[in-house]
Amino acid sequence: MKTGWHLANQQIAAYVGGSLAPSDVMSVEAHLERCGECRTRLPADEQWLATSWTGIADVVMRPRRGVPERIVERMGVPGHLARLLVATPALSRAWLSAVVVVLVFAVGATRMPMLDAYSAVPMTLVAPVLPLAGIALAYGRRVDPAHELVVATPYAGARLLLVRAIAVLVTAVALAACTMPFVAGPPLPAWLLPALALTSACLALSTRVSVLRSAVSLAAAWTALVAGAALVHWQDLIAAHPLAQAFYGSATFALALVTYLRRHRLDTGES
Amino acid sequence: MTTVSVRALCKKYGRSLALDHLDLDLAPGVTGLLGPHGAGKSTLLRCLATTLAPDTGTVRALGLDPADSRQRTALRRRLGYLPQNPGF
Ligand SMILES: [Zn+2]
Repeated sequence: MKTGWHLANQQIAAYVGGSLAPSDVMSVEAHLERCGECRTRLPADEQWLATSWTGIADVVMRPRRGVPERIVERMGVPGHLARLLVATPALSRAWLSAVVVVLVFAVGATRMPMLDAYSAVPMTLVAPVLPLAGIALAYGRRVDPAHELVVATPYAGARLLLVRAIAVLVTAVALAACTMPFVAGPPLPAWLLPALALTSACLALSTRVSVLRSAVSLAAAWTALVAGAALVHWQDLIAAHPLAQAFYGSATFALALVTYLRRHRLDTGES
Repeated sequence: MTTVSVRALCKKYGRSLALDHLDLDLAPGVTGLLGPHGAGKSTLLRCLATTLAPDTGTVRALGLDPADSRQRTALRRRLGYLPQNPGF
């Protein structure tokens, strides 16, 4: 203050000692706020201040990690990768609930008596499409709001797409496997290899067109194939037949190889 | 010493030419990029940030070439990039 009025020594001593009446404390603090000179007369424990400040800054500035990120890290995934994984738009609650709803409908359809002849069709149709839908939402400018940030990181391109695709595939397959007790069938479900083959095909096709477009066209093609086969009663030939299974197995491997060889095309920085 | 060096950089979006044979050298320190809407500021920044591949021309940032996949990853390790619409 410019008036020349300052706190008396005994006022400061009483304030520090805590023996001032509350109304006096308020007026002393009001003065201290505006007067640097009196503030310097206040004894202060510099070290205590510094450690308190560091402690507060640590709590306030630390980025908050959600439960999924901590679980993923607990499973042994390094921290930077865990962050990129949980930022996958497809692994949101919305996508997971959609998967569960679709699976519940598929299981319901397999148990409808009038669809008895087609009991294998709903899961054959749905289970391989779910990971495709997830991958479509996992990587790309149009589905990931943070995509522009993500593609400037060292993990961008094939590695990040692969990591997110595997996370989505594992999640979708695990959820689909939960339906197995409710659907009569062989111990190893017929939809597993088609799901792997379509995921592999999606990654391979993504080296040519966007991930979204490749997933959508493959999902459409699979739906048409399964529905068409069911119409002419060939549904078992599409998935459960040993030859079909052998085809999906080798296709998974071949398309994974294609993806690996063309992996550089998955980076937006590539001309 | 130059940190960023750009030669004859061209980038087209469909028919519209965003960058037309741009040459640019930047020294260490802070650089501001001013220009009207649509002048190609974001396109240039995205080429430097390795999130967009130029049609023709060369870019060197910290001596690294974003067109080469190894050097691009090395550049991304040293790059800090906050886009105009980070999206969250
Ligand atoms: Zn004072």
